[in-house]
Amino acid sequence: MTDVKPGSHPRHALEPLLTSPVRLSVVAALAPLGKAEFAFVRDLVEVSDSVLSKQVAALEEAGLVAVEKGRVGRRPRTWLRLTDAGREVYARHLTALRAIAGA
Amino acid sequence: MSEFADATEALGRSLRLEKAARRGSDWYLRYLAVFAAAQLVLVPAVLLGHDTWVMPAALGLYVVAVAGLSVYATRQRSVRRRFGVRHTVTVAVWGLLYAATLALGFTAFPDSAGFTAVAAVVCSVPLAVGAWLERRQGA
Repeated sequence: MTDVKPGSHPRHALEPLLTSPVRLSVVAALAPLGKAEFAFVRDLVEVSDSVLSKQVAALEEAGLVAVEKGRVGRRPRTWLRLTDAGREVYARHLTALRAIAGA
Repeated sequence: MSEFADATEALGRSLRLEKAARRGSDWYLRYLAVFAAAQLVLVPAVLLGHDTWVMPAALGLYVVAVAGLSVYATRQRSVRRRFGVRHTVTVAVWGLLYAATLALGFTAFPDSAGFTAVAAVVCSVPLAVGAWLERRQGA
């Protein structure tokens, strides 16, 4: 029988929080940006406000995304930003995905 | 679906979204392109029209352009990474070149069409380079 070292498969390096397609999409959309408006991410990921709110709350709780509220003129705006920790986790997750896909 | 297919699909989706996010935030490229093109008109207007109504009109246009572009910038829905640093460097280089060309144009080369043409191009270069870098980053 072949000896399999526990934890050696790249799947173990995947971030559990990012195995959700919507959460991964939110993080991917924020990755090249300094910050983005909530509606910009919603339109890009193609989800409803409530779905995005829920997923962003989970990412914020894990420290991967920061949420800032502000105003432009009289219009309230919510900005989303990937934290440094979020960038690290996303990079690790992509590396693991590449290893699994053999890319 | 296999683990391999899942990973390939997730990777592809992530890269597509990153690209779409970059494309959706290329407003700064347009901002710099407009400002670079404006130099080719405004710098000659200031250097050659200093004794006429053209110079104050050009300075007024500068104020309108900068204010308009600033409002345009604050209304954008996304900002690329390290935008603050890149914008500060671009505007600082442009500001130094603009001040230097005006100083030389008014003292060493007054009413020189040749110098004015060079000055207009020199002032537009940092903005055009900034626009090119933005475009390259968004590709």
